[in-house]
Amino acid sequence: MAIALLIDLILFVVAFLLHVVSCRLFKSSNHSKNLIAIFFFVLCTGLVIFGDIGFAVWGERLVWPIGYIYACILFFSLTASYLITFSAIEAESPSIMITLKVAQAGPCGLIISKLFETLNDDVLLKPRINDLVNEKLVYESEGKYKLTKRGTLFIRIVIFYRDLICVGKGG
Amino acid sequence: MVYNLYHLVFTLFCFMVNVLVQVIAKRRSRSISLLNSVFIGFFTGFFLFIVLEGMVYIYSFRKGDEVLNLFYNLLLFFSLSYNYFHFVNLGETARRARILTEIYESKGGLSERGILTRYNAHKIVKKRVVRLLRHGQIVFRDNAYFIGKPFMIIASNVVMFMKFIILGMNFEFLAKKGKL
Repeated sequence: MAIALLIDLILFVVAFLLHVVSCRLFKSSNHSKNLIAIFFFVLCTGLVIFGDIGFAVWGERLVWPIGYIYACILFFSLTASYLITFSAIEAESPSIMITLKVAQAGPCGLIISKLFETLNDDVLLKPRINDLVNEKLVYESEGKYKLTKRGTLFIRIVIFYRDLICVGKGG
Repeated sequence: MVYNLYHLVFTLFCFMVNVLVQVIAKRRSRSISLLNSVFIGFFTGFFLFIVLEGMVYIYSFRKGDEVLNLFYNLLLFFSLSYNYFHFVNLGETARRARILTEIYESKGGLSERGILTRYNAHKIVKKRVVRLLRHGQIVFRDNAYFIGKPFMIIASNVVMFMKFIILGMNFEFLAKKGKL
């Protein structure tokens, strides 16, 4: 497990750096998709490389198949954590925007009408609707937005969970 | 190095306990906030994790290996719990989830105007301001809002820093786009 942990940590750092470079170089509209592709590529090549080189360097080999399973499970979980964090960083969080605006107002304080002026539908809602279309969770037909199969599955899981814990709509 | 499947099973079991306790706690008591139910679930799972890992360590003949195994399991448990926390949070605060819910409930689909009638920036800002006030992150006095507890402003600065590192966006860039 120690070798799986070590390999995972190295691969995670490499994948993270590659992702940062890709974000800086390419103005892609879908960084999350790139992230998944980069992390998957790094895991596959990394396991092939370290599976053999690891023995020469550390005197220990990843045991087939259990060592690879351990390495993959932790790596997938870390990747999911990074993907979630990245999504939060990429999108403008309303709470963070409000906090920063209040902080910028300084000792005079911020009047709520100022918030409504700048944090409008163009900033908070419309980009999110476009994201849903880009991620193929929603499609536009005859001027109306409708859910794709993926979108329906995704929201059914969320609604099922929220019904399970007896809470209403979020947002 | 020893590979024992029970390490993985223990960690996944503790994570399942985490989820189960959170769901039961939230279902049984309406007075518990969603965030507190997540904490209750997490600490129950973590306590069980410490007990099980402690037992493994005590009865192990190769204690050096067990310490390294503990790091692996700890990282996996924290990572899974973090992912679960964000899944819970997704339904609670994510605008995309809310937009999808509105479209799902409308059956025949919704126009942009239809979406904005049901869910709009005004509602979002109002809800977030109430939430920030409730948690003392901002305070209201003399008809204006001021920073309260420093947690949210620290978190906001961390997010801005990461935005700068990963995406190369800084305050000026966002201000130009009208986002700050």
